[in-house]
Amino acid sequence: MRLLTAENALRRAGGFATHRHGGIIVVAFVLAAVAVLIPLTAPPYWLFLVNITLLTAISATGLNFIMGYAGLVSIGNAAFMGIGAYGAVLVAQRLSLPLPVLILAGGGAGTLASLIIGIPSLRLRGLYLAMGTLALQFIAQFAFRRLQEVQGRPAGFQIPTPDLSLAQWYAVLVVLLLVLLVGLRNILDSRVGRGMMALRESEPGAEGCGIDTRGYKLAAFTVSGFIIGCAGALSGALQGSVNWESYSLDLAFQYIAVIVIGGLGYLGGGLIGAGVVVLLPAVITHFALTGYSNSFLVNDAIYGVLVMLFILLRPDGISGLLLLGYETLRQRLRILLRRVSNA
Amino acid sequence: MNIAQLLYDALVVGCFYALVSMGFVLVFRVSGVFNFAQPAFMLLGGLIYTSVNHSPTIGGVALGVAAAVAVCTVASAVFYRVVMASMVGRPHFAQMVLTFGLTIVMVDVEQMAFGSATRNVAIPLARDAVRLPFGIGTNMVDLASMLVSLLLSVAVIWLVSSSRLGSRIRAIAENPRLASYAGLRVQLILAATWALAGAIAALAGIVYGARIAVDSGMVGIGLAAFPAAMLGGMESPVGAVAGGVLLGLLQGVAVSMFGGSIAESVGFAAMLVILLVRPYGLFGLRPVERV
Repeated sequence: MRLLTAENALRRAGGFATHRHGGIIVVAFVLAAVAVLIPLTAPPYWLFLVNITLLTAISATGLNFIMGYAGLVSIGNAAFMGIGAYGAVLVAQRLSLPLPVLILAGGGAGTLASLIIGIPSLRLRGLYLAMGTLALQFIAQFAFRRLQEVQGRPAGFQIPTPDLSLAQWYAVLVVLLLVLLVGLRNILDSRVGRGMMALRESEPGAEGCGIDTRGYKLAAFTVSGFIIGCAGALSGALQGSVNWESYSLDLAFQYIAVIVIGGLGYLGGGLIGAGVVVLLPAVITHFALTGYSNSFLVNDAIYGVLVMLFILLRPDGISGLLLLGYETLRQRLRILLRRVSNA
Repeated sequence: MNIAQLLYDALVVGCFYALVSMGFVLVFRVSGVFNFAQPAFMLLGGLIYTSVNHSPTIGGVALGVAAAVAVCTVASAVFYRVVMASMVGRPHFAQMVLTFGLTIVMVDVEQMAFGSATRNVAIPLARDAVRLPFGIGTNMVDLASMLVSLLLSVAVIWLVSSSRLGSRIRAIAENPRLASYAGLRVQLILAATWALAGAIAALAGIVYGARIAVDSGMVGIGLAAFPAAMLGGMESPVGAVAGGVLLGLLQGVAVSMFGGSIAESVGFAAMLVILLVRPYGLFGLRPVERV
């Protein structure tokens, strides 16, 4: 009998495709059951938080696409979300369109902004690109504020939204997230996706292999700009108002925390990280800190500590941990079964 | 508006930005890390000073400064030793996220420990109006803030360019492995550099606190100084002074034209332009890429 370490188990996992599918189907059924049970059982406050989590997951998945797969660091997530939201607001002021079209308009604004910042940024490498998006954060927030001042709307704008119940919102968000994940999976399994991942590993190396690094960078920029722009418009609709103060650097960093905690370069990372960053503080406040006036400081500090711990100890986040745990468990199980059948 | 006054105001703010930028530049030079924890150390310095010293006397100031500098120096060095030292060879992005994470945790803990009320810094200077030549109106606190920032910045420039520690810092920035072969204690000197950045942050926090006040808004001010480092070139202390003054000037002109809310974004807009035109800054080193 051989004992397999977790690393070995992971390495061997590829060879047992049928077993692997078996496990994944079980996991998928469990997740589907949970997904159906949530809107039926959760009290309104928690269902609202779950909706926020799903929305955060959509936007974070867009960020994960560019950071985790293409390896382009962006601190501009809040800015791109704001651009999507304000894009939808500006379109809605001129034309009366249904919400789905407005959300697509937000996505269009995000795409446009990502091209405007992306084309000149092709000159920038590594963290200098991150600094460009940091600059965008401050410029965009000022533009949002200015727009509200010029139009005399200090309290912000509304995006015309049909009157959906929490459970209906939940269904919409789940479907959108699923569509997004399936779509991205397909992009990532294509030539473009592989090219982007090569870009992440080594830019000069990818270039040496004949990969059009500029083209793939722009592709990554536009796709993630579209997703995040849509998510921004969606967030404006879900939360009922669009205000410049929401799209802060804190929010941008929160999104980085979401994908670092959830798992950079794992498609599920956005959802898992969103769950931790949105729900964990609410749970802690509810059960441990009720009535404590500084609870929001504690909550803030918790995700700050979490993101530091994950960077230091598990750079592949909770997704990496889960995958490791799953493969270890499967391996143990198989050894156990073999021993039983030998006996 | 009086041009001399505009220039003077830009200089007051610019010298402060230069001082803050020294911390960004020092850390970036030796370890290539954008140290976004610098503003959190500024706030810590201001809070320690206002907690220790309530008397506007020279002795009180000395006590407050000593306490704030000591705490921030140690805290910054400990952060390097415990967290950043284990990140050698990891992506710079991960290191940057750590400094962001630290800022969030530090600012939250500082507000829990010290409260979030605005505090005034006790200093032995009057805030009475002072007239300078060319019709410039100011007060002793602004004047002192400018001079102290400038002196401290020059001291850091001297330290990096002419002292023994400075030449070691530059050696490590150039090539850490070669420096260690030459017998330099790389880890110790890196920790010393972070400690120095902590001390600078504490002093900047006190200077800003004396001129305005100490509260969590200081973190935003510290971050607003970041474009100064970027404009001057992330590796260059001299560039940080030039970048600081340039940033102060740009903000002064923009604010007088468009109002106060533009101050932060004009700096970052300038930073975006410099990134696209000359990413290594006005005084920075043109990078050489080895594959």
